Amino acid sequence: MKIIHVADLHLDSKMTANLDNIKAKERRNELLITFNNMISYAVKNNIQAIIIAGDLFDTKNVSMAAKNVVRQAIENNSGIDFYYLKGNHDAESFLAQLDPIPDNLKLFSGDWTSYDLEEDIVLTGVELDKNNSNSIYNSLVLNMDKFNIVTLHGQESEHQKKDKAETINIGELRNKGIDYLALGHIHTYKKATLDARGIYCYPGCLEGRGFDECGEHGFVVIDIENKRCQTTFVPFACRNLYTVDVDVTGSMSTVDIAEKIRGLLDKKDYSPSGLLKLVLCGEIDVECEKDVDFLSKRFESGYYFLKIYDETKLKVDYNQFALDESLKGEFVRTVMSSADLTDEDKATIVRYGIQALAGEELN
Amino acid sequence: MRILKCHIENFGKLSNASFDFTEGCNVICENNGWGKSTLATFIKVMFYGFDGESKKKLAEKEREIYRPWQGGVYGGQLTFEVDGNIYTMLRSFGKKEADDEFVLKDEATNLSVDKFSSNVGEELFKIDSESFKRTVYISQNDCTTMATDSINAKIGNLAENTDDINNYENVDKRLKDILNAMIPTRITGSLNKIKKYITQLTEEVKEAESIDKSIEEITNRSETEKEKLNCLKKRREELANEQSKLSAAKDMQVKKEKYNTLINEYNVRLNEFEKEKSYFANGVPDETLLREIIAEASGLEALRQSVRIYEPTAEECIKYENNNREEFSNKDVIEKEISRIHSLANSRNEKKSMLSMKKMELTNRQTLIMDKKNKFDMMLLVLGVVMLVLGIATLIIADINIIGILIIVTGVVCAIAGLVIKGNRSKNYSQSDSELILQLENEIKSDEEFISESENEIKAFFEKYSILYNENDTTSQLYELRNIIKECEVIRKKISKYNEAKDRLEGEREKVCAFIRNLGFTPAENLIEQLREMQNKMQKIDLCNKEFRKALNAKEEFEKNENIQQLINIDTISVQGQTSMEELTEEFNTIHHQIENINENISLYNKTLDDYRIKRDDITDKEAELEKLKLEYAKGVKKYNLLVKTRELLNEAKTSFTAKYMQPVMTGFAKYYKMISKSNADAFCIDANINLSVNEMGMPRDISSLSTGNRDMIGVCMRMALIDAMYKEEKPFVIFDDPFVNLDKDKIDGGMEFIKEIAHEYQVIYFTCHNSRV
Repeated sequence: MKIIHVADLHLDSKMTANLDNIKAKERRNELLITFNNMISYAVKNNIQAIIIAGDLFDTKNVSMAAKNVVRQAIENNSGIDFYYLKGNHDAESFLAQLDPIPDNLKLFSGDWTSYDLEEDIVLTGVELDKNNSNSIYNSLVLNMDKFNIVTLHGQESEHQKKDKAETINIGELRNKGIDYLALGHIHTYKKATLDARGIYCYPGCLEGRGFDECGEHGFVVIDIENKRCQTTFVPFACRNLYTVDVDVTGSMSTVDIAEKIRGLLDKKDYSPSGLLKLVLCGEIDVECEKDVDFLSKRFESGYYFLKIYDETKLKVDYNQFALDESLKGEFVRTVMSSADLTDEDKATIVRYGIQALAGEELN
Repeated sequence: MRILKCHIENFGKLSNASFDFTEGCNVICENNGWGKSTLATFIKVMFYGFDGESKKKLAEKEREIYRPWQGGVYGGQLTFEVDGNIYTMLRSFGKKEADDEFVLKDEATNLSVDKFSSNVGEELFKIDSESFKRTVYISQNDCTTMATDSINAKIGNLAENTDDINNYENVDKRLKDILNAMIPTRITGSLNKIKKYITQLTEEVKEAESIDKSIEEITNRSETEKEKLNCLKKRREELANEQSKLSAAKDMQVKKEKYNTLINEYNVRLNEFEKEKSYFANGVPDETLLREIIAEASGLEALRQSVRIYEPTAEECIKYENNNREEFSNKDVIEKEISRIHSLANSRNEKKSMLSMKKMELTNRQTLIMDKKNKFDMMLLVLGVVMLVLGIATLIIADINIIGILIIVTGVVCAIAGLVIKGNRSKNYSQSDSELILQLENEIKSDEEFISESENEIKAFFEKYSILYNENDTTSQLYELRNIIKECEVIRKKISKYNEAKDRLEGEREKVCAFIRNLGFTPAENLIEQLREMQNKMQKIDLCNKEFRKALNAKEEFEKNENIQQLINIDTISVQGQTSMEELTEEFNTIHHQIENINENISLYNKTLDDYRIKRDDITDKEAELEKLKLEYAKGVKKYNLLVKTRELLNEAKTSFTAKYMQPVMTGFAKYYKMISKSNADAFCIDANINLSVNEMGMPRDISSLSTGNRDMIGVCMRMALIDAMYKEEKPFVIFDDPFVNLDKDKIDGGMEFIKEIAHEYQVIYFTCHNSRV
């Protein structure tokens, strides 16, 4: 039996953190398209069940378009059973409008709920809340003779944290007879050993949304045969996000920095459909001419989205100004002798002063 | 650096004027209005161009002030020496700066060079026009000075690196503008705006708590309603099941009742059918056959009518009885006999007629013979005419053809005989009279015999048929006989048809009666009626049969579709004992109504929740925006503070930088002050901004409080001190435009000494209008 384990789709996510309204809307649509593509993949690959381990939607107020896409996907694929465990982002409003709930949509509650996927395969899950988050571990009883999949939505932890409904105490789930612990909540793919018998897995989010969700995203296909399973992570996102550190130490101008960026991008060969965040780092001379806006414009056309963060440190060679008989030299020396400033502030002030004297933009 | 010569084409009031300059002091002593200031301005303009180009008022524009009074080319040339090279610059001025022309020639080659641009003043002296006017160009009314950025830079001997200090004022102004634009304490400052927006957002975000509470409360209410809804739905389901069960039981009951009805109907129809069928003891006849018999029975009446039509009347019977003869049956024989009798009668009559004529002829013959016989021809003729008339009359009037014809023939014969007799009298009379009379007599006799025999035969014929014989009207009698025969024939035929119809009627009726008898009925008088009744009965039987079949089919169909045994086993009493369907329906409807109300409430709660969630989402967005803004604000404030600090430190650096050059300027000032005033400059002091002040009455006072003469003197000294500090090696020329006009006599001497002194080091161009100051 083949099962898809997916989580954290966050459909209807605003996507406005980095993108303008037009691209944000485009990305919202892409979230829905990727969801539909995943269903098509399931049909094509004889997937019999899809476990959605929480956070199908991003907000409590789900748009009509998102609701319809999900509803129609479920209704039009009656051959696939959808096991939907609500996460901390999901709202009841989607289910409230599904009257009646399609036969192939299976739901969970605040109590352990089990479904026989096949004769020897049982899926058990519970939706965590502040009332049950401590008690679920003792009430989980599984038939050791079966292949047991358990699904939960929350942050893995070795210990239960007080007042944290979304915490999953991995330690408490060991030696319970779990073969595959299908989790959701962490947005990066992770597979690890649970105990001698089973593994636990976060498939990550289906589509990266922000630069805190960089890298490849998709879902996990669980192939179970004779109570043994093989898992495969399937990269499926239509766009990936990347954060790229560019060390520009020693650069003296925007052109120098641009060359370093170009060299790195050529080497990495990121997809033009990707979203890139370039972080300029390293130490640059206080007199280095640097135009981040120009750099952004220079490289943004090569990718779906690109932005540059300037996290460079200023390097001030105070010796250089020691005998400089100019106002600039006098200024640097004056700043140097200011006892109430941190080194970082001194460097910034020196940069401001030098830029001001040179008639440049203060940045 | 020194000026060698200059030539003015046209500049202000000066026109086509040339001046040569030597090293040391060049004194130009001319009366007021000669154009000394114009020449001084010309020299300045040749190096720096015009000032006041951006002024709106023409009177403030130097270009307009010195536009040649007499017209012509506006400009001139100036030859100067620098670093051992001699250059001549030529300038012509148009209406505006863009129309100006500038050419620089190397005097050694007389070729244009680009050693200096039109901005030659700044390139040579490393100071701007303003600074030039405040140092090397000392005009009559502007002796006082203050250090400009250029002066400060020049003082610091930073000719090669003066951009920063030169630009300090702009930098400071720019920093000030940036800080003003950012300033958090003023409403126009961007940071203030952000802060204000942060405050606004913070207030708006505070709503989140109340919205969350509302959401929680509405959610709780909604949950309570949902619980109620679930209970009601459960009860509704139970009721629906009860209804369903009751309905099923009722259905079974209804079915049972229906089955009983079907059975009753079946039995009733069967009885009716059997009862109707029993009418026919020998079985129900075939309907088609019955219809045929009825048709036949209906034909009996037509036959009966025929019998009635052909039935002879009593009169006809008597007549037939009396008149009918055996012979009549053979129509041809009797007709021949009648025709023979008729011919016989005609022959008799002819004979009779001929007999009369023969008798008359005989008489005539005898008369003739006996004399009287002459008149005989006349009589025959008259008779003939009379008979002819009579015969015609008979034909016309009596319509008795034969008789008429006989009479006419007789008349014609008589007349002809008369005429013949008359004609033949004379010639034949004598010879054959006797023979003729005999012949006539024989013939008469023969005729009489024939007549007699015929008469007898005719008479016997009529008597045979009981017809009273009339010898004169045999024809009529024969006609009468014919009528009798005809009549008898008619009656006979009628009787024959009558009998035939009667026999057929009897036959047909018997057939119908036999059919009726076969059915077990005694034929009634009115067979049709009896048969119709049977037909009606049959129709009724057919109808009953149909009804019976229908009932049977309905019963069989029902038995086929329903579990009859189960129906039979229904406990009617238990069904009746349950809650009534009406009660269940009433409760169901009530619950349904309640569910609808609760659903409506939940829907309203959901809508309200949606609204609150939209608001909450907005607030979440605002919270994110607030965080972003706070970061932006913090970053902005940090930048602002650092910029403030930058400005402070830059100002401090500038002060510190310029302070280093205060002492040389002060020393120079003291030297020149003593040279002119013959007294020490101990009371004066100078600050880092090269601002001079004087200590009087124990307090530092601005030099603007001093007299005009003193101010001019101090200004000249200060300027020269600055020039000394600025130009350590290459000394520039210095223009003095009658600077000592306000000085006392003794100080004028000092001034002259001052001019002589500085002329050792500088090329001095000294303008004055009075010999006392030469």
